[in-house]
Amino acid sequence: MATLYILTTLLLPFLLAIYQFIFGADYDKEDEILKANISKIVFLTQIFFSGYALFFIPEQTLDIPIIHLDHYHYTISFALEKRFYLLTILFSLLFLITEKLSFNYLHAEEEHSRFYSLQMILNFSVIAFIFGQNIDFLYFCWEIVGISSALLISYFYKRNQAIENSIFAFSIYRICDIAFLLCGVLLFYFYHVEDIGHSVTGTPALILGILLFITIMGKSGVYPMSSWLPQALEGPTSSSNLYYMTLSTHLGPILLIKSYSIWESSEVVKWLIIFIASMNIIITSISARTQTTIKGALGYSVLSQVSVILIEIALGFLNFALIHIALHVFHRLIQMALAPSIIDEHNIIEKICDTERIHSKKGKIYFLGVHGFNSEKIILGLLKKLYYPFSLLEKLEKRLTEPKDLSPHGEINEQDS
Amino acid sequence: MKNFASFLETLIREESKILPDQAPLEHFVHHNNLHHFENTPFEEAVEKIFYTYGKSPYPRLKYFREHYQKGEISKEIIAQKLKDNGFDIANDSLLEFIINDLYLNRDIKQIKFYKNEKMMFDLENKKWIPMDEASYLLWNEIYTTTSRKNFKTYPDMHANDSLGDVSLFLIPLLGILLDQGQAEAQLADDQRVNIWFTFKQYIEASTLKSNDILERYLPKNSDEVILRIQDLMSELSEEEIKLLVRLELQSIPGWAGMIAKMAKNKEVIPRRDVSLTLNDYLLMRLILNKVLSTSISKSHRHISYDVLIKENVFNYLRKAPQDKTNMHDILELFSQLDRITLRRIFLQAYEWSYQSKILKGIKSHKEQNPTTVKYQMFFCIDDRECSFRRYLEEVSHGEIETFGVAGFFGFDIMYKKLGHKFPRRYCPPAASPQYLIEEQGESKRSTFLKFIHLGQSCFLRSILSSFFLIPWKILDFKLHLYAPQTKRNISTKNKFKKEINHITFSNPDSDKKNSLFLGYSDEEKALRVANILKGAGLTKNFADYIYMIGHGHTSFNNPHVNAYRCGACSGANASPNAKLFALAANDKKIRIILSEKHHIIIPETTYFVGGYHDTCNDDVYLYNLSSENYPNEVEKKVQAYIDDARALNALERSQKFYQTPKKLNPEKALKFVQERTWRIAEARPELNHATNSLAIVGRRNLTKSLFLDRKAFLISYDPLSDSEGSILAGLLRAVIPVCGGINLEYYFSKVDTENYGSGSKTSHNVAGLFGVMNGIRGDLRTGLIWQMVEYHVPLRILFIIESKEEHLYQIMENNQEVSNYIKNHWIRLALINPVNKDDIKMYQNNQFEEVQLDQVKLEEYSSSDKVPTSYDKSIHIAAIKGVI
Repeated sequence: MATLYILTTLLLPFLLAIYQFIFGADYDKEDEILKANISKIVFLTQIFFSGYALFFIPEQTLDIPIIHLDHYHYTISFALEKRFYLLTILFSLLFLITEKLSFNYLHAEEEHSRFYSLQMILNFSVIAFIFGQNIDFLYFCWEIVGISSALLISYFYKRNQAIENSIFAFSIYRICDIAFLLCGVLLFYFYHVEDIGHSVTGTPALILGILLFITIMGKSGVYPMSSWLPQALEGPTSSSNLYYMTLSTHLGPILLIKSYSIWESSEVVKWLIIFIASMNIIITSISARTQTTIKGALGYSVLSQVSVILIEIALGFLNFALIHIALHVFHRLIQMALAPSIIDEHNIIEKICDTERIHSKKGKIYFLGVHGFNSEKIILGLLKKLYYPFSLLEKLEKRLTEPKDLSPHGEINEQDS
Repeated sequence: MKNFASFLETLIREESKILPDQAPLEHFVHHNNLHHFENTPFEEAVEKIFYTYGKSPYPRLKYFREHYQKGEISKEIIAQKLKDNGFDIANDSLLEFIINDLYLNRDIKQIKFYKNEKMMFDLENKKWIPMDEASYLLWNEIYTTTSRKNFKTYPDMHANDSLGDVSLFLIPLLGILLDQGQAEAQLADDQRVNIWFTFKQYIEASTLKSNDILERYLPKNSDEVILRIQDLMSELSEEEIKLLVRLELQSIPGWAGMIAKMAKNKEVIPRRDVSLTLNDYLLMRLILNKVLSTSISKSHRHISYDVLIKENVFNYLRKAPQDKTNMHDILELFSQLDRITLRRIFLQAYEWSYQSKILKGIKSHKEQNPTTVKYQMFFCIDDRECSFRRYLEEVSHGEIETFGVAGFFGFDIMYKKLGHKFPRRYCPPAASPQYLIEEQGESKRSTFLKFIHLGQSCFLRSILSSFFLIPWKILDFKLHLYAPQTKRNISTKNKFKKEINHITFSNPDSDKKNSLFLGYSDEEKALRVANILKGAGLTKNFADYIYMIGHGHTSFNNPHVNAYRCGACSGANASPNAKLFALAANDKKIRIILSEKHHIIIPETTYFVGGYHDTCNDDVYLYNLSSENYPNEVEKKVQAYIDDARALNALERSQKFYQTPKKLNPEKALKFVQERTWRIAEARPELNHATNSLAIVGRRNLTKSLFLDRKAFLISYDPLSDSEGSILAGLLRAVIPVCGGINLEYYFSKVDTENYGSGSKTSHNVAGLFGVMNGIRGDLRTGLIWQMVEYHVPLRILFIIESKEEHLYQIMENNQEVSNYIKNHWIRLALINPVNKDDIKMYQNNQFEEVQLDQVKLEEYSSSDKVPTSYDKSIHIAAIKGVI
């Protein structure tokens, strides 16, 4: 039963995503309704099965063998726990709502079908991430979440700005993913296990804990990685924005909860998390207050509350943190979906009470807030150094592949318009 | 340069003409994007702007060719228009080639020589094929022929390009300087005034290193700004300065335009004042150019060039080898007929194909027999009321007579809604309102609600609401998501009935508040009532019940909501104006003044009722004021007519949406459009003015029982009671700029959605409560969103006026704006002789010329809802038989 449950909740979206990528390239009116309905069925199935599992499937660790050779076994294990069933129900509900919102909103937008494929991939990777127990499988899911988020950010890929911000977000993910990879390698090096729930003590706990925290800094937007989220809000407002704003940012805390036994014994890691997260709360909430666009304000204020969740986890209130995640995800979902009506909202506030907003007097810190505490510049400085070799490669490629079309007499044609 | 200040002033004034002139979102008014250029002919202006600023002048060739395939453009008319533009083409195969294939491939070159392979692009099969020997010889011959060079370039300015470093750095600063109350923490007032201090602090808080440059160029106060600009430009020649200013202002035109608008028009920013001007903005950019050591330069692209033209000649000669002897002529012809010229000719041909069809239809349409009129209804001239009026007449079998007047009903007011902090304009953008009307009553105030509504970015509040409010909010949200209709019923119950129940607008003592009168005197009221009635030609034969129905729009989660509302009220819901009119016209004192001074005798039995029509969800509210004058049975009967008409209207509107369910009856259609209104994420609550292309000034008889597919602004005017043309002059003064402005804004936003329009609305982000942009640091997007114009057919509007030439010549002489619109062809104009309908004249070549139009047999349908329309098919004109 447990195997069946995992297979249906994970394989269904995975296969659909692959199918849609291969066959669903063309936009068609009939197609659109069909695709929306199929997605709806997938999410409803997930909700229904997880509800069933909550009562009838006992908590256990499920091992699914993938490769079985003479001397080599590879099994993926899944932790089937009640809190994870609940989380799955919640996230599938979020997918269902967003799907419903997007149907009218993105309708008739160019290449609308791409959205459905990305949504399915994101769904698969997020749910798999919740249940996964091997660190290598988690790394795989973590990467796919990153890729699909970046692709959703650059949904309007014809606008250069969207692509630039998408690459920026993706680069930040990549930097932090190095820490995750290192963490997996070291875990295997120290203990010959790949179980994320392995109990670790002593120096390894300190090293692994710090690496895990660096891992989540990217997706959860801890300073100086904080500016990607507000900048990434380039996609459709009531649709794909919701995904990376709510899901990607909250996977960090979930990873910390899953790996709690790895870094639990290290007090240094706990204090480090508390210290950095508190700093982040101050920084991002100042930035949030100074933003003059609704998406910017929401982006920063999501980050400040994710940091609160991180502190809760560091203090050991794991279940409380999960509840907080649940509430916060929906809070931001609703706020972001209703973001375009900010002017009406403001008029209502003006009607019912006096809107005396705070007038800042503390010059410098106010402007630092507007600049997002220059986090973008810090990251870009780092990225420039990292990506420098690649830019050389790009130049080389350009030189090799640029076609030369010549007129019969050897002149180069004028540039076409 | 001796007088740099005045030179710069003129330069900025010239360059800011092209900047978008759009007010903050809440004050959105449709206007001609190029209204500073109205004194030049349309074609000349748009092409000049294309060659200087790179904004598209006409729709693409591909667009026209699609419509040609559909049969919307006729081949004869294209040949005619080619001839009018100096290209007399007798050869049929050449004409076919020009229409279907000339400049067909925009991105792909037709011929490629690549690594010893000679390839050519096959237009029919759309693929590359190897070149045979004969073709190669032909190409060689064409290539070696010398032709007259006719190069034109245009700048490559696209909204899609990434913004420069300077713009990216500057946008957050502009955001906080212009913010109208979005940010939780606002910049203090003194910092907003003292721009240069703020600018310095802003730079210091960043990572930029700029001390010496700032010290040298930062002005101490606003008087020094021009001096500093001069310092920064001292090494440049006059031409270079002109180019630099143009590039700097055009780099983020949306923001530059908003700065200019806010500096000029303080009415649109009641919440917080803004002290930034374009000069300041220019200096900021120049300083940042120094600091970041960047410079903008835009590349230019060729519009037509030698090889492209030769390739097209090659393609043609492959198709029609018999014309090889005329190669020189064809080469000459194609080098004259560049892409832009061809697009212009296509536009003219499309316009006349459509307009001649309409004129023929109107000419052939037989007028209806007069019916007994029991009710008269006044609507806005808006094209969206066109179908609603037709249905009202149909369902009542002629008992209802309808009129179209400007939707503010003559009452030019500033109106302050109950509980709102600031009054807003409820009159056309051109008017200067002198009267302030305030809604009376008590509004609810509570701190608890404040707690619910705030909390987007305040840290503590958002944590508290995450824990305590969200469970309740989720339920509310899900209800809204899955049952928008129920949620709508709960939220807006009696909203409009309650609204404006308490208006006092009599002000015999001329009391003033903030230099605005707090109401009208009786004389003033009577004058306004008389103007409207006279303009519509209703001075006798009053029915017992007369309805004044203003219109508006409601939709949820839509920052552009004001763009959908009444244009004559500057984007407000016109319900207060309708109610004011009814109140004034029912007043006994005013009726006495009307009969004495204005010679309009309204019988005692006549009773006026104000009303409101929502063009999005087709709700109609009538504001019944007293039960004794307005008996119950009348109310019931009229309500029944209105209910039938609005359901049928909803059905017709539904056909134009993509997502319409297949089997719809009127009741279901009504539910369908109502649900759209209240959806959380709906990009197209209604299609607004899309496809507007006609404005008919004349008696209703001219268009009664004609199906015009919701494309016509219908303006009531009786030419027989206006022997001197003075009423017409008053009408046209208001109507031409409004309808022409709406039409031209749609035209430009459709033609160049990225530069004139604002692109797809789905990714828009509301900035500072005044504009929208993409992402958190983008240019402000002005103009119309793509979802509004996606169905629009970009044609200039055709005014059909029932009047005589003399009147029009006189009006054009007296009114410069109207004259510019007509003489420079920003609108097209046709005159119908009021006495003889067959006598139709078009304004062309600077005079009214008679046009030959045949009688046609119109398509006939038994009722309007039988006309088969859909989103990709339009019946332009049809007759409705046997109902009225």
